[in-house]
Amino acid sequence: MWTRFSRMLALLEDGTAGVLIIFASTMLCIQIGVRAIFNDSFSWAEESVRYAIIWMVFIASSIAFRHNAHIRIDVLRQCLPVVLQKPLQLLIIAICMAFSLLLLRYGTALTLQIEQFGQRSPALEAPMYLFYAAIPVSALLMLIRLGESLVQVLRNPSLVTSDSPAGA
Amino acid sequence: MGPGFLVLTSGLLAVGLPIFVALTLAVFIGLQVEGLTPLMLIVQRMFSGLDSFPLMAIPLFILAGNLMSTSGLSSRILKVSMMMVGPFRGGLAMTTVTGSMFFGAISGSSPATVVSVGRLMLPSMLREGYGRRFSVGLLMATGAVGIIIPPSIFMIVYGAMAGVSIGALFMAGVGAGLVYGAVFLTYCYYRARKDGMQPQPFPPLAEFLLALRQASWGLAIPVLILGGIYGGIFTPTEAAAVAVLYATFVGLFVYRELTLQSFWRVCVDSAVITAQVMIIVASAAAFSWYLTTSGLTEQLAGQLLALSDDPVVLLLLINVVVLVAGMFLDPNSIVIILVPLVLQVALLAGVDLVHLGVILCVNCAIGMFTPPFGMNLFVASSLEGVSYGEAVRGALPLVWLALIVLVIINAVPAISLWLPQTVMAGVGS
Repeated sequence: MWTRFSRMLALLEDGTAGVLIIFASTMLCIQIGVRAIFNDSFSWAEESVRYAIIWMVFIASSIAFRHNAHIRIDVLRQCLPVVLQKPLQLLIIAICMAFSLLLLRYGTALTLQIEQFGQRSPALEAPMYLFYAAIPVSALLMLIRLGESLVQVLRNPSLVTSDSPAGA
Repeated sequence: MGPGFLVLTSGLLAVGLPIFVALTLAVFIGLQVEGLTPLMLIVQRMFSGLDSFPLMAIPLFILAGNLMSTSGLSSRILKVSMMMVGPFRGGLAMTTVTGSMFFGAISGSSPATVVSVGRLMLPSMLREGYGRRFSVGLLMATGAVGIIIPPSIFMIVYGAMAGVSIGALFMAGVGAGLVYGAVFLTYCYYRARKDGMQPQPFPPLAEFLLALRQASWGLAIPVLILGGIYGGIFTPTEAAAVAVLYATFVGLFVYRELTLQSFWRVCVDSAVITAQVMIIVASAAAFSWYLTTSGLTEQLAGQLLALSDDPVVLLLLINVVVLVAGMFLDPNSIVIILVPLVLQVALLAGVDLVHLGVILCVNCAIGMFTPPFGMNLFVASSLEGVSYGEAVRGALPLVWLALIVLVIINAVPAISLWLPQTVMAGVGS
């Protein structure tokens, strides 16, 4: 049940991130073309690219947790004796989860506040809270992936290698 | 919180938290302790840190680089570079240098360069009798050149932060990257001579021309990017999108090594690699905002300026600060966190801001393979049969060599500024 949910979610994350980066490239190429041919540009092209990429970054940050691919200074773990590596991993995951909770809480607060103010983007005139929502959504996704890693590390009697994908 | 805040941040980083978690969490704790500013503003800063059009060049250049690898452009370029320097004494080591430079020109990412060139070159270097430490060290040191040679993510972030033309920075990186490469090539030759290695015969000219023709699709890309930016046809971000389109076209229709399936895989992978970089950009923006509003930046700049008002000494101080920071943090965090501080000092020292960008970039490149925390050390020790200890011992002598490059680049601004100034004079902008 959970594995199925996890796999579907992974597909959704991968799909969103891939589509957004393709959208950004295509949009910019179209913009260059339109400018070259009609000597005209539409102002919302750049804006849509910016917000697409911001969504992509936050969604793909969750994917990076799933692949354990976030950039970190890994020297302490390599120096510790094997017995202590598991507690360190648990500590790191716990801190990351606490951090995701903070991000979820204040990200939601910010998104709601911007929704209340009714702020709109200058060119697309789209409500800004739709873009800010990327942050709490991604915090929630990260929390799910971190929870999975936590369970995996706890269940695993031996070591978890540093690049084993947690949700795969 | 003052210095306590910096200690807290270092602690969080040292535990091994992801860098973006460590930086943002430190700001959360810092603001919470002071209790004056709503914590929501941190999230706001992360968002606005990314909300900049020049930064959108990062995902697209990453995508373009990965597409070029999958499409077979990179391997053809590597073949040409192998033929160019391979026959000399120490040719294989030299190929690692030129290969890394070409890969850097394509990917703009140092760890990616170390892995891709390492997988190809490390086994052959060991087979030909090069020392293990030397081989690994060379791989890490020249992999770092990727952040100097355009298109460089570092330059994009610096340009966006300091309000300097990214096009000019790209141009400036060409000269600096070439000097860096030349110094390392000379060193390889010297080592090989000392170890009594023999030169190999040159390949027939026809064979070389054939390889060159096959690689010409890839070799055209830097010209396309830099030419397009300078001709005013497109912005750096649009240039990145053009590179994506170009690499896809060549992969699908010319070399036919790209399938729709691998295209999709590359897109998703590039999104993840982008996130690794840009989430740190977001958190570093929040971190830098905290440093500025809490007055820490001002305080630190004051302390630096109190030390001296001699431009040369100030420039030296900038180098030392960034070099030390580079040992602990990744280049993009450094540039976002330190640029507000460094700009104040640099303006007083009268350093050209394009030249400054190159100086910072070379410093960070050196930081990438300086023990004990340099990123490339960890990347290299993930390669087969390389231990962290070996990586450290291999890197140390080459750090000294790279410091020589740093001195040259500091002392001779023309290396960085000649190309952008010449081209800009021509365009008249």
